[in-house]
Amino acid sequence: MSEAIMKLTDVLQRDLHTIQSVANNAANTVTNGYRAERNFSAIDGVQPGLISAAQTIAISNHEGAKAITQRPLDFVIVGDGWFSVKTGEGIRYTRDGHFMVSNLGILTTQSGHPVLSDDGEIALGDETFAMNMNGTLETKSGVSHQLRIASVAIKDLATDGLYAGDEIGINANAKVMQGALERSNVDVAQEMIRMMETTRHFESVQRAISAYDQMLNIGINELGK
Amino acid sequence: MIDAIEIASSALRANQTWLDTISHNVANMQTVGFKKANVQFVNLIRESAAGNSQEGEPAVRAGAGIRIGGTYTQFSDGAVRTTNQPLDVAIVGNGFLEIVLPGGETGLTRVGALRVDADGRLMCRSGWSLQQDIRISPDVEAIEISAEGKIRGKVANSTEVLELGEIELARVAQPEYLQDVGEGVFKLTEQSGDITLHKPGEHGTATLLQGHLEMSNVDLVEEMSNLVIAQRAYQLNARVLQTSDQLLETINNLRR
Repeated sequence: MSEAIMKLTDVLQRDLHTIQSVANNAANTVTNGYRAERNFSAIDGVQPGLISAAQTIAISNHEGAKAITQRPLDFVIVGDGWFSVKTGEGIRYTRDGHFMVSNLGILTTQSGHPVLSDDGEIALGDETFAMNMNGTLETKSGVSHQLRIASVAIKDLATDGLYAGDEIGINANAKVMQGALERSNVDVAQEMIRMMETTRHFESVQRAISAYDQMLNIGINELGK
Repeated sequence: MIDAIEIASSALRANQTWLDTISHNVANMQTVGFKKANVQFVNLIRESAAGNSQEGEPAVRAGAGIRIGGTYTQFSDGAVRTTNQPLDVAIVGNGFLEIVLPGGETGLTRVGALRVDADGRLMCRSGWSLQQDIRISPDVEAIEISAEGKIRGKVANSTEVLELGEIELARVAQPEYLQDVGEGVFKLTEQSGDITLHKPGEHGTATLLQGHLEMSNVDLVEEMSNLVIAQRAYQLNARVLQTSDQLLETINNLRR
């Protein structure tokens, strides 16, 4: 008796997840280096007709717009590739090139995680440096660091705005620009449409539950009167 | 309730802080020596146990809104305005004047509007005394401050050129981490590093321009476009909040 209602409730849950995904994207329209997410549900292969409980999240690969900031420690990767960052849980990736120099003289993200070069952490101290289009940082004293830019299949979100994923390889042809940042790639129109669609879908499922509830009411209370 | 409500409110709060920062910058567009502030946002996440029902799989990470990652001061040079006052200096490049705040603490400032007090000591017009002790006696006129900070002057009715002193500029390793305490004064923090003194023009330190003052470095175009973005982001998130409200209402009406 309650099977139909359970199925419909599952659908409602999924719509709530979609709204949560839309909310995340909407909240992050101003976060630099953010990549929009979309959630997907799959048909359950075991029990036909049932929607699987697992939700997958896919992260969009569109490049965001570039904003010129003229700050020497703002970097942006033009094209494919991610900055590699060292965290307590291993190497994570980001497109947000707003970096700072910690008081130990190491190049870090704005949350304090060290940015990696091909040889490890980048120690800049308080020296000025220049960067060429390949991502090679050369300090005034002649030490050069090559930014570690990797091609990654992003799987998951990590703390502090970083992304986790499977590394495909080092991107040797990556182009890096100094003095600019990559904006969020959220497509606002898409998010609004998703929101509207989900809301109306939600309402129609609510109608279905309501109708089924009425049917049960008649079945239980009216029949056999 | 619905997570979307929390996510949307975190975004509304963050965008509001951004709007406050933009407003502060625009208000200080004509303030001498003002340095604009920018905000950076960071994505928040939380572990969502309900994501994957298979055993042994790590919990799915779901977004949880945004927070302000940091507000940093941008130390690009502002435009230079001619005042023709002999004791006005604009600092062109990297460097600060080291001043003594009431209470004895050291501070840094870019406002080079100087004057001479009753004892002949060079100090800031706003009342801060310079860390350096440079004296200019009241009978000295035609004061010249060179780009390297050398102060020269001539006593009235004499042709002798006196060397009155040399202004030194202070630099820190990471000026972005300086704390802005208002009135053109910056205080040192742990991450900014300590003051090192340099002669103007040495090792990339700024030079001085006499008879000029440095205006604020606020870029009107940048602030206006940020304002548009902040407002629209705010609206979008308010819309998400409204939609969540609608959904909750629909849920409440599942069973009349």
